[in-house]
Amino acid sequence: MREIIDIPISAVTPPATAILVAQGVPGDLAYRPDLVMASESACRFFSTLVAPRGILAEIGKDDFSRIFAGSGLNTPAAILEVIYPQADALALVAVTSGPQISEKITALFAAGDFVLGSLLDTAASEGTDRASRYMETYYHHHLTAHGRLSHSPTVLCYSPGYCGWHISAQRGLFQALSPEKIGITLRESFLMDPLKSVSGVLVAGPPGIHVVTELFPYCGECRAQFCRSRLQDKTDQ
Amino acid sequence: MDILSQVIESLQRGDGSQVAALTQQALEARIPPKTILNDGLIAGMAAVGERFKKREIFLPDVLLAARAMYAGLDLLKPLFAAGNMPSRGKVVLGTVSGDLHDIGKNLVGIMLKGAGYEVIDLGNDVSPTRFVDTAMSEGATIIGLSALLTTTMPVMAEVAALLQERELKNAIKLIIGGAPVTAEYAARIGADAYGYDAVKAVEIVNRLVPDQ
Repeated sequence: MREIIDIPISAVTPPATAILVAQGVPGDLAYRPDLVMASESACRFFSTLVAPRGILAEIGKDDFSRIFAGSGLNTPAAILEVIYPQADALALVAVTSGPQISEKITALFAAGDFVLGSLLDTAASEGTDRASRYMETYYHHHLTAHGRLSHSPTVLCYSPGYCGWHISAQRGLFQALSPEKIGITLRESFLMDPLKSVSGVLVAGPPGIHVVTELFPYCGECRAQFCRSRLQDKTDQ
Repeated sequence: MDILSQVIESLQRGDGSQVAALTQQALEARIPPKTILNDGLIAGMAAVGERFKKREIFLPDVLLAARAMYAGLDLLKPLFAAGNMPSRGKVVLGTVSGDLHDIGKNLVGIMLKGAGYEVIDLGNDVSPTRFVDTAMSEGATIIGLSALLTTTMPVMAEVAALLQERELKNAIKLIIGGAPVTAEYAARIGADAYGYDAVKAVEIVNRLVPDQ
């Protein structure tokens, strides 16, 4: 299976309150009206500028093992090394929110409108994450609707640059997936352009294969710590 | 409440129009512009920084306050002779070569300006030589580096090495930051400090810049 998907804008546009939470404002606070207005402006900008697209290509474990290994720079305890061999299905994936968002953010900062620029940047990051989750759901539907699996798998995306999987693995991932077809290019530093893009592998399998209970050496430096919460989100759906 | 205290309070609320009105009132009351700047606007941003550290307020509040501060600053700037805007020091900022992420760096620049520093923002994808050459030519005492990829972090070590090679380590201090950057990494490459966020960066620069 190899597909290019035009992701609905409604699927990726975050609510205004989600932007504030992502900027560190506790979810249980009564938000300032001026902040809510600014966040709503950011959401409107986002929904008019975003051009969300995804590309997905299934891959076997043997072929993925070569992409995962990359140039041999992974941390010895990279968590995906334990997870993907237990998967029922794998698919390389990339999503992007498009170039206009980043251009607008840059323009806002240059014009001194850094409040809106910062909120739009956060909206774009949230939106790109939502695009990634949309692809998880899309692949899940593909696997279950076509009767490929006898059970309903949990599908999660794992990306190079996180949890011990070295960012240079993007080289092999890009060669196999060709995200250039949806406008994503890879720089020598492994920076994706447009900036608001995600690449990785969708791992489909029983929920238990994604469970993270240990703390790895890289966990101490991780500011995101979403590995546990996102599995809970899937379980709650 | 005296005018400058009102400036501080309005700034913390993020009320730019009130900060501008009070700044104008202060000028009309013949309070020297430098006093308005230091004891009103910069003092207000310092209070914002303290409240952020205590988690009484959060990033969006800080940015609204900074925007309000700039509303007052725009009224004061023309009153200083060209090139004589009071400054606590010059800071050269940039995202290292190979990297285009700049939001964090931009926020640091905003906060440093709010704290009274002159910021020379070199933008993205900046080479080590350009960082150091600019700091030297501008008389900057701080270089601030941002990197958001593990593959671009090594450029920070190159900047540190270049400062060492040119015997500038005492004259120019190096502060680094970015998502994959750690205090341990900063120590390993010989940087003078690691800034976790924009407010922390101001605190560190205040400590590193000699009192004038």
